[in-house]
Amino acid sequence: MNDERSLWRKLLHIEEPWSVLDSRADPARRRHDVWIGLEVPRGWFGRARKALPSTASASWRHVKFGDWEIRVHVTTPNGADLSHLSWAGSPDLPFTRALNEQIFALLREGCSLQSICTLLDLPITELWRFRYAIDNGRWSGGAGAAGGKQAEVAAPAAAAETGAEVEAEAGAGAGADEEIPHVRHPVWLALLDGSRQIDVRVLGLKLLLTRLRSQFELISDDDVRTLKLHEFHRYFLKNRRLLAYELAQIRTQ
Amino acid sequence: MNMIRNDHGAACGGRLMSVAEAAKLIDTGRFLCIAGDETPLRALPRGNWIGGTIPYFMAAGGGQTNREQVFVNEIEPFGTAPLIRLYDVASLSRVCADAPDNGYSIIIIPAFSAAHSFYARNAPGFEDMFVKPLVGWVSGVHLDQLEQAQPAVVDGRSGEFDTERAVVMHVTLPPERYARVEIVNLMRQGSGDRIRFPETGFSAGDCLVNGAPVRFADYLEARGADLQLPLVADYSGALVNVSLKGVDAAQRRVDFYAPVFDDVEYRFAEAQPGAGHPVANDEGSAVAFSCNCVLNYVYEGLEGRTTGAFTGPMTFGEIAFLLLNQTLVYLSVDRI
Repeated sequence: MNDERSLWRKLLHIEEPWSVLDSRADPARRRHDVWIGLEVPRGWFGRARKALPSTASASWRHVKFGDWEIRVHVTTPNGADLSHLSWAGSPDLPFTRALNEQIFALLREGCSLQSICTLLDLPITELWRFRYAIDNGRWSGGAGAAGGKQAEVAAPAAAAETGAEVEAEAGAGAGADEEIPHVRHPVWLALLDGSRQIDVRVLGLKLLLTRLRSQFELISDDDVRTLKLHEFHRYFLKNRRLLAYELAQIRTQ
Repeated sequence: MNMIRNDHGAACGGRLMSVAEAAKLIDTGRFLCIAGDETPLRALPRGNWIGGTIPYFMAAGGGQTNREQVFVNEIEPFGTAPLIRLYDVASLSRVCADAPDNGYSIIIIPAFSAAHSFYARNAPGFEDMFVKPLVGWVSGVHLDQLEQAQPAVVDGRSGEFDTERAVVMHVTLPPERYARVEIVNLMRQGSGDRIRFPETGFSAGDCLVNGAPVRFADYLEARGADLQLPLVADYSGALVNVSLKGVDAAQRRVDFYAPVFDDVEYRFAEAQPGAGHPVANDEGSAVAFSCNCVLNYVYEGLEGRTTGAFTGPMTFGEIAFLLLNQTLVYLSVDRI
């Protein structure tokens, strides 16, 4: 293997049986393309090389290296399982798992889609596809990608299990915002899973609550559910002046 | 100008006026939303306004078809000049994200355009949808000219008429004020069959009625359905209508004025005897903007009748976050 292919193998954490087949730099576009596949089995003591089974190809945008955009092109035997590989992605999504994780972390912190596009230099249409997959329960945070997942925020299930502790924490943090319970307070989860009902007067909240509840039914991944809880909580933070009636009910357990 | 003012002194409502009067207002540099038939709209000077074509109005004196005058809503800028922008299908998903953190946006979309279809089907997924107040309407044409005329929107700064893009005015509010979007829906969800559709769209072939697969056109025929009654979905207490446009007999396809969604359950509306639009003279008086549906105008015979102080264009679709049908939409600006 030449030096460049060897370097890409290390940078992308590619392990056998996968191999970097080729790489090409386009300095004008600041873009590297890397081709990954299964290495053709060597002939053994002069025997003919085995033929590879029929293959499928896919391409994904990967995490940037410096200001270089990285595109990964993978050729695999049909039906190969790539679900644990951070340098590969889902067939219906534009990004590798490593980039998905990076985007998801920014979404979790409340970054807007436009900010993420600017920060990571992504086209909005591709980011929207990813967002759509999240909203419809077609993407799970982490999904086994090597080293990609960092659970910085407590999962909803954990929040529910440690309700009393979280309530205490929420109370302790009330100095910052006495009107709105902390995002980890179990009331948000209860509202989204439908176990807690309140009378809603504000049209925007009625529509948002319906949408998030229907997404919650589809989403099983704890990280994605946490993202939805953050979205819901942010709505209350932004619209607290409209929501006095609803917040009064939420504060009354 | 005969503007209505609410308790807090904010300008609100709007009124029908001559082209000459509207032109004078535009020349003062004020920010305006204007509805009118194409000919009077084309006669207006350039300025800080957005507009859309429609010849049906709810005026202070009652509903009327008017092809000479225009309906003008003055937008109070509260010290910050509103931002006017055109959005095509590629940028439309950013309409809420682009809106100010505290404020509201008014959107006008040309009927039958790609933007109309895209917005109707995808708006629920737009970034910041439901978080920032968004109201507006779908521009149209005289019902006798559906085949000849084309609905358009106008960017008043350039005077450009556009039949494919949406025009938006983003309005920033000071910290002591906030905007609220509400609807008045005279329809009530009936207690009849539960209907679901396999795909989001403006038309439907198959559907599930109480879980059983049925051709929707056959279902309507067998039921002898009144096509003036919309399908109604219950969004946590907000009743959202989807009006039926008609049945394509050859294709056995049912067309709608707004899309049905694949993740929403619908029931047919029940007629409410005695129900009517708000009629008290002061109802709607604290409203900064409102619009109503041309189907309400036609089906309920609103010509010559009033809907309280709610005035505005009678449109091809009303927007209160989502695209709605047969619904009165309004926006109010309140003080903390």
